[in-house]
Amino acid sequence: MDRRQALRTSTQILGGLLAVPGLGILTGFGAYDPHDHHHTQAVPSKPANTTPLAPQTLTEAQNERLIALTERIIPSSDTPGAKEAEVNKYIDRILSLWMKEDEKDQFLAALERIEQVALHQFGRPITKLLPNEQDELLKRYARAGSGADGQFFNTLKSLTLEGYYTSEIGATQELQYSAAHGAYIADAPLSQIGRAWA
Amino acid sequence: MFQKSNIPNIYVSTQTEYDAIVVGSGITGGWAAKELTEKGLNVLMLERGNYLAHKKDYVTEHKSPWDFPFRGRGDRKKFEEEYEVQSTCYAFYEGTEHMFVNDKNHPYIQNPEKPFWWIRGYHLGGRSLMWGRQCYRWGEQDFEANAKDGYGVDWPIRYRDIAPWYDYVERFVGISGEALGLPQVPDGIFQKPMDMNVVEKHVKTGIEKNFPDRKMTIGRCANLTETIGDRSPCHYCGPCERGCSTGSSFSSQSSTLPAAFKTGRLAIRANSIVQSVLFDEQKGRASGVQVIDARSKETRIYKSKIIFLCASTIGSTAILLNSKSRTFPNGLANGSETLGHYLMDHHFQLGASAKFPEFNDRYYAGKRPNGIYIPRFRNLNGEQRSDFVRGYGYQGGGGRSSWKRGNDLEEFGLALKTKLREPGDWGFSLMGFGETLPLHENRIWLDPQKTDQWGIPMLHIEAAWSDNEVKMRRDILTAAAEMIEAAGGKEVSTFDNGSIPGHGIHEMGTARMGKDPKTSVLNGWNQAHEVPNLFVTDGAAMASSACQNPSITYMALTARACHYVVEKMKRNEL
Repeated sequence: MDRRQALRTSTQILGGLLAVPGLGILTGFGAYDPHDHHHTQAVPSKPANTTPLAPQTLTEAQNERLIALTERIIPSSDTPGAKEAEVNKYIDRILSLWMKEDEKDQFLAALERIEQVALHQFGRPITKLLPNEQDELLKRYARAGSGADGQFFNTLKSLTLEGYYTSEIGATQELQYSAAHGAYIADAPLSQIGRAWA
Repeated sequence: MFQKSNIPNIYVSTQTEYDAIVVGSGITGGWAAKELTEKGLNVLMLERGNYLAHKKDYVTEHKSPWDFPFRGRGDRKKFEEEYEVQSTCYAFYEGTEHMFVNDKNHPYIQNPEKPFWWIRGYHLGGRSLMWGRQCYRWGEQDFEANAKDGYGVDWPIRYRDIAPWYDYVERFVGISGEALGLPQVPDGIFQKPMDMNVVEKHVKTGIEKNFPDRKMTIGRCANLTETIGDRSPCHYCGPCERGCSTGSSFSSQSSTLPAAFKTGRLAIRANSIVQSVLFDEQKGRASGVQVIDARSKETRIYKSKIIFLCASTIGSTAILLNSKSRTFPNGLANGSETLGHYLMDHHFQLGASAKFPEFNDRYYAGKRPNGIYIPRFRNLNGEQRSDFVRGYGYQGGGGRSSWKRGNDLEEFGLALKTKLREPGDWGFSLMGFGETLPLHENRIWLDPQKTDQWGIPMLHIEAAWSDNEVKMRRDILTAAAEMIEAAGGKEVSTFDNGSIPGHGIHEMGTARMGKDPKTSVLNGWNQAHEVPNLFVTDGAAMASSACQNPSITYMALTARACHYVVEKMKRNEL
C-alpha cells in the first residue's frame, strides 16, 4: 500500500477526520488534514502561471463541458466559482501529466458518456442545459454508487474541490489564507476569525 | 560570515593535514564542526551531497499551493520511479522533493520479508533541514534499561554524564517547551512553550484528571519562541521542512555551521562521498579518509589527526564496514563483530482519535509547527508489566478538519460551498511512538559483489519488530482510546496503519556504545574502543532506543565527545 493510499484509508477509518501521519516526527500540524501539505503561504509571491492557454488533453468541447460541470460543483456566488478559478485547467494538467493512461482514458470516456446521457435525457448537450438540469444530471451521477459513473463523479468532485480550494481564488477569496501568520492564536471565537483556513 | 563562505567546492589541498575531519553535515556533523573549530581545531567537513545554502537555496519556502503545478501532489511518475521509499515520508511532497535523496540513484537492498524504509537527505545540512524538531531528554530509565532487562549491552554512561551536555546544546539550539518535573523526560533549558488550543487544553484536563500517572504537555521543539542571535521567533508559516530563512527552526545551516564558519577554521567539501576511513597499521590509528567525488568519480585522500563520523546511523556504519584492513578485515573498529547489528527505530503509526464538536464555535490562527506530547507512563515507578518491557509516548494534537472533508459529504454545489466555508468539526488524535529492542538480527551489511555507481559496495538493510513491540502496540491502542474517551471525545476510533522499520526516521544503533570492547564498538565517549582517534557521534552509537525522539541526545553526545577530544589532545593523550 503506498503512502497516499495508506493515508486515505486511515482517513476513511476516521471518518475523514484526521490521521496525523508521521505526527511523531513532525507533530506539528496537529490535527490538520493529513493530505494537506499546503499550510503555507507567502510573502506575496507572483503566482507561477505555468498553465497552458489551450488544454493539452481535453478537446475544446470536452473542456467546455468540464467547465460547465465543475462550475455546478463549486458555483460562483458572492465569491467566484470553479470556472473563474480555472479548475478545468488544473484537471487538464492532472489528466495530461499526472494520471496513468487507463485512469485518463476512463475519465475521458466518462466525460463522453455523460454528454450522451444529457443528450438522451434533455435533448441538448451539457453546455446548453439550464443550471438546474445540469444539477439533476450530476445528482444522478452522485447516487450512482461504486460503478463507473459513481467513480467518475467522485473523481470529478475531488479534483474540483482540490483545484478550487488550492487556487488563489479559492484559498484567498472563498476561504482565508494567512501567510506566515506571525503568531499562533491558540483560541479565538470562530466568529472573530471568520472563514476556514485554506 | 556564513554567507561569504557559501562557496561550493572550495579547493582543498589533499596535502593538508587537518586536525579533524567531520564526515556528514547533518545535525551531529554541524555540532562536531562547531565545537571542534570553536576549540581551535582546523576542520574539514565532507558532505556527500550538494551544497545547500541557507536562505538562498530554500527554493520552495513560503510558496503558495497554487505555485505548484500539481498543488503538492508532485510528479507522480517521477515519485514512483525515483522516490519509491522517500515518497513514504510524511514530509516528502512537491514542495520538498529536492530535500530528499533520489532512491534510484542511491539504491540499497531490502529484504522483502523484513523491509526497512530508509529516509535520507543528501545535501549540506542533511536531515537537520527536514527533521521533526521534537526534543526530549532521555531519562535515567533509558540508560539503565539494557542492564535491567538484559536486552542489548549496558550503556557505559548514565543520565548524570549527559545532563550538563543537554544543558549546553539546548541553550544554543533553542527548545520551546514546558517544564514538568518528570524524571522520565527530564526538564531542560526551555524557551517559553507554544500554546495549546482549546481542545488540547480540554483533553489535557480530562486525561490528567482520570489518569494521575499521565501528563500531557505541549511539544518540546526546536522552534524558537524567543530570539537567539540572528535567529528570530517562529512566524508560524507551517512547513519547516522547506527550509527556514529566519532560523527559527533549528538546522545546521541556521545555527551550527555559521558558528563554525565564524572561527575561520572550517572548510567544507560538498559532493564528496567518503568511501572508507584509512587505518595506519603501524600506529593503530585512523589516518584519514578516502573520498570519491560524486560527480567526477575521482578519488582523493584527506589526512587528519581525528575523525568524526556523523554520516547518519546507517551511513557511518556503512563507511566503517567498508574500511577494511589487515587488522580489521570485517570493518574498522569491528573486533567485536557487532558492527552493523542492533539496528533500531521507533514503531508508530497507531493510536486513536475522536471528535469534539462541542467546541465548534472556537478556532485558531497560524500554523503551529508543533503538537502535544504525553510522556511515557508504562513500566515506571515500580510497574513491571507482564506483556512487554520498556515503554512508549504519544504525540498528537487537536485541530479542525479542512475543505477536504467535502469529499466525504453527499452534496455538491452551493450547499457544499457554503458548508466548506466554515472549518469542520474539531478533532483530536494521539499517535504512539514505542521503544524497540536492540536485536542482533536487525542489521545492515555490505553486499560482497554488487556495487553502486561509485563502486562502493551496496548496502543491505533488514529489520523486523519482535514480540515485545507487537504486544506494546496493543497497549498503545487501548491506552490511547481510553484517554480520549475519558476526555469526552465523540466517535472515538483507533487506527493502526502498520509501522515499517525505518519509517520512524529515528534509526539508531549498529555501532553501539558499551563498556566491553568484546561486545561493543564505541566506549562511553563515542570513541572506538580499538581506534582511539575515531569517533562516531550520530545515532549509530546508541545502545538502546528509548521512546523519545533522539536528535537532542545525539547533539549532546556529540558536544560531549568534542569536549573530550580537545581535552585529551591538550594533554597529548590522543
